[in-house]
Amino acid sequence: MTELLANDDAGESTSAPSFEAVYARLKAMASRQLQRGARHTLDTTALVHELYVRMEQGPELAFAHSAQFFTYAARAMRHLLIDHARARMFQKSGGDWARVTFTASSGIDLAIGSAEQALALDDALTRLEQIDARAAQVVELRYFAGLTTEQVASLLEVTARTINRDWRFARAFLHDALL
Amino acid sequence: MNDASANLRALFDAALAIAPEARVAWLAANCVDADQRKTIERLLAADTASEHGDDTGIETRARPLDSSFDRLLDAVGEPADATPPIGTTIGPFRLLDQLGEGGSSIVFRATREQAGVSQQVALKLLRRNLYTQDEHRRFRDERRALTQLQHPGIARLIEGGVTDIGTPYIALELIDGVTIVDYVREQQLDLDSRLRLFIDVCRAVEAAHRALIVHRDLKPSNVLVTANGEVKLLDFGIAKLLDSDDEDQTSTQHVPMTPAYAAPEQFARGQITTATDVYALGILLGELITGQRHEPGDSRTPSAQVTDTSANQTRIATARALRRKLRGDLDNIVLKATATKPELRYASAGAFADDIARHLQGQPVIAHPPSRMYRARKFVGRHRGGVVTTVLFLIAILASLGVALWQGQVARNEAQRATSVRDFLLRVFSAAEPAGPRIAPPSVVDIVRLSVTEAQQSKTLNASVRIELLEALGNVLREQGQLDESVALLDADYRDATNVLGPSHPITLRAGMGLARALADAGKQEPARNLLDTLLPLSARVSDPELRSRLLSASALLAIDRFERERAFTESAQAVELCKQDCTEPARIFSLLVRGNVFASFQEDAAAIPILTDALAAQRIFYVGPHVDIADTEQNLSRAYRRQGQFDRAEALAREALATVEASVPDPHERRSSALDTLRQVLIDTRQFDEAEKLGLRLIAMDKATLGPDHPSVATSENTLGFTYLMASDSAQAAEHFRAALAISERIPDNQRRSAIYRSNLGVSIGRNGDPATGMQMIHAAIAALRALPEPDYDQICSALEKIGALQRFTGDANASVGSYSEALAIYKEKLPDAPKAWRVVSLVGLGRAHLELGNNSEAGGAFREALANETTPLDKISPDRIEAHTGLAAVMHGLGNDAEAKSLLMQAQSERTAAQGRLSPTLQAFIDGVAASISAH
Repeated sequence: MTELLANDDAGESTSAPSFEAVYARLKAMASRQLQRGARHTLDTTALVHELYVRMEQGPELAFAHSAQFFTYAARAMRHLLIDHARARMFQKSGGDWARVTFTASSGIDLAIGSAEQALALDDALTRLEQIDARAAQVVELRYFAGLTTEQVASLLEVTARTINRDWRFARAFLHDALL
Repeated sequence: MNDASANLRALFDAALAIAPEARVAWLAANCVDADQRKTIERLLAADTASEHGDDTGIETRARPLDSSFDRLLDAVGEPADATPPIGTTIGPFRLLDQLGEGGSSIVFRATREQAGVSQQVALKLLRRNLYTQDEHRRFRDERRALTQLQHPGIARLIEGGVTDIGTPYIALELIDGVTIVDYVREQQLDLDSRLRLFIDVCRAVEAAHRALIVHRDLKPSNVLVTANGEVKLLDFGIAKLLDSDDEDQTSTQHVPMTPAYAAPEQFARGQITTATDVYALGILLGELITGQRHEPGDSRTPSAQVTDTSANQTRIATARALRRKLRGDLDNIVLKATATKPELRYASAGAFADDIARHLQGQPVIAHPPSRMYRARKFVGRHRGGVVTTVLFLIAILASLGVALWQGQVARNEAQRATSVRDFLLRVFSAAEPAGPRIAPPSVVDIVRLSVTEAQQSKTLNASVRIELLEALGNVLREQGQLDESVALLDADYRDATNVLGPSHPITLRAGMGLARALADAGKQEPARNLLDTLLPLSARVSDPELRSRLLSASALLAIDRFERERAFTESAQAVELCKQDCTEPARIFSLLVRGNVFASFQEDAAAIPILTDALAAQRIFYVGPHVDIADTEQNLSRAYRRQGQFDRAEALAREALATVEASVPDPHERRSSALDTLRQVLIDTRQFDEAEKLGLRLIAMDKATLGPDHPSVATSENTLGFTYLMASDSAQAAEHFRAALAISERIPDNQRRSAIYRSNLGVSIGRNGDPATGMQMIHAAIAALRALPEPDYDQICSALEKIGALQRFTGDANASVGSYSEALAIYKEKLPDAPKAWRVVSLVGLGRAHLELGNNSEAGGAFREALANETTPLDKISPDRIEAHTGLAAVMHGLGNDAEAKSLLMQAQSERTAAQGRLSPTLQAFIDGVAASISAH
């Protein structure tokens, strides 16, 4: 019966999927896409949508609200980015244990610059959450989950105009913070 | 969002709306704080750079949001996955075999040798590395706190650390057990055993909460039961440990939660507290007692979720029997634990456990008020059927008090007050229960009267509760139409409140507002206005936007009745604005409804429609099911569309309103009458007379049933139905209903005015039905009666003269008709000089028609022109009078030989006729066709 311990994060097959389940599957899908190497750049928007369709259709995995799914997915993408960026920064600081390797073909300097930027973005986004939670959510859904303005508007049940205003404020805030 | 940040966003949005070159000056004027001004200037600069990035010519560093997320992710690159192989040493532990894998961690069985003893643990290797010193420190602090959490019901955290590459791990006590859900199923535990086991879970959670550790991810797979039947909770605080992004300890969370068990505040990223765990426990309890997995978003009570399988599992014969056991206490307990608002849940896991223990011992639980269900059930049982209204009333009053009582800051005090109000109502209920069987249940008004007496004599109610209660009762009396009684009660209550609590106490202001509304409804506008003018400045001093908003709305409502246009617009706008800050939903909806009605009342239906639509949407969310208030709004909106000429929407809404009332109030009911009436009006306007007649008959039957056969409203309904038949050209049926209206009206004392009106209508229908002489005689009698009134009703006299004029023209006596219309016009000028000139249009058009028949072209032309000049219906709206005047004038021009002018006027009439889409009377259409034929014949 000890196996039970192991199940706890794996997303039990009969319950609604957890954030962890979404994250794990997105990560796996992203890795596969990178390994296929067909295209240089990931298409995360396609990934998110593909996963949405798969999870919605799966016999056991049903989300009560698509807003919930996309919030998870966006959050998962944000985590993915930060994990990669942290690994990159760790590599820079001379961490040597085990096989921290990178698949991107671009130069390491560019990677480190981007990692710094990614961490700064995450940090600024966390601060934006304190100031205007919905604007931060709009960034997550638009930028990380790749939803269109109209999709975000319908998920959050506000007008596209409101989303655009949120976006404009968030963008100014983040760009100012990242200057 | 705090004030400063809300302000930041608001200032940013406002500044964007201003031309870029004017922004510096605007900010200097509107943003006092120099630091904040600098921040906004920087944000605006960033915005300008993003909006016109290509135009500035300045090379800016690529910023993340300008390119895609994919590109950034790709530029960072992907580290390889690093799952350590079996045999790897992690800290002091050696990995034996993998037990499982999840998104955030891999779990191994691991072992360590210590002093010759080997200890097996569940080693959880987190996937998320910790890279910074700060993260390491936070992880260590958390781990230390968790290591100190020692409780037999909680799996012990043995050790935790971070590997060389920054991978955090934790070693947990290895538990041999099954999940609580599997356990109760496999052991086929009965309901009480399940509850006892659950109490153990609560106690363990309570112990953790005392150590200030919140689980955050409680779910069956984290609640194990060992072979000995001991509860063991896993992963306490692990969710927090994983959440190393967390800046301020317990606020937002990014990582684990499981949707089915996650509290609303976790989705909303609100404050995570012990109440979050209470919520998850509530869901778990629901699963244990129903044997059903909880689906996210399912808000049914446990008893509603029961199936045969659940009954079987809990060793109860049938689903019905189990349902009966759950209904009541257990339903209430689960509902309380899973309340959306954290502050409404049990204050602790311990309090939750205590309530279940009370239930097991057959004691009353705190999840519902003592004996209320018992008494209410008994009461309903005795008065099945008719009691519905009374119960509705009880709920309404509890709800209205609930809103008021929970607004305050000091929750405990408020709870005490709510309880005393409830107890008080219970006493009223028992008082309403007679010793022996009775025929009819007490009416709402009966109950209110009893309540008033009880409240006034009660020695246990404290003063402010009594004042609030009487205010609520006074409001119910007002809504029930007992206006004098309501005014008297609220007047005394308001004076009492002023003496006891002071003139500007919120409760006093609310009592005053109730009084003002009752006065207004009772037609005492002057005192209502004075009172509101006293209350409004006082409310400005109380920081209660909701109260102030409601007062402004009440004042705007009164302003509508007093034609204080300016005031109605200003105050209703302020009320809506105030509710944007901090209002309960009912207050916000009220402010929108009043605003919408202000626009509608001052003929700005186009502006009223979007506001009422918003209010309707909000109501439909607020009241989960159908509700009479929703029907009211649907009717208001229907009327607005009708006046706008959008009959399709008007009809659809009127039908929805009818469906809504039919679903929310019993048959018969006056609210149903009102909805029937609204639909009927649309049907008459669109000339769907068949259905309008049917509705009219239903309406009369309903009015008779609700109000009694001799109520003035029944007469009004008969009269309206008479008109419907008249418009449908069925004068015989029309006469029958006018006669019925007259008969009722004559039985009502001091009702000569109404009787005269019905008599004149009866005259019209008899006259049209082939007996003009009798018809006119009746109308003349009506005119005599109207003249004999203490204050002669000249408006109705004119109307009667117009009816005679029409009948005279109908019988071919155009000369007499000219006389009748002229007499009416003379009365308008002499006796009603201040009345809108539009009132004269009917007489003027009739006069024109009569002159036309006599061949007096110039007189006819003058009358038609004056009619057109006085007609005030906007040009984009259908006005049969205007169409008739245009057509008449075309005939005049034709008669004068001016065919060009005649054709142009006729064309105008015909285009209006097209716009009316067949909603014109057959006689008017025949007139247009006739004139058109004679013009084209030449």
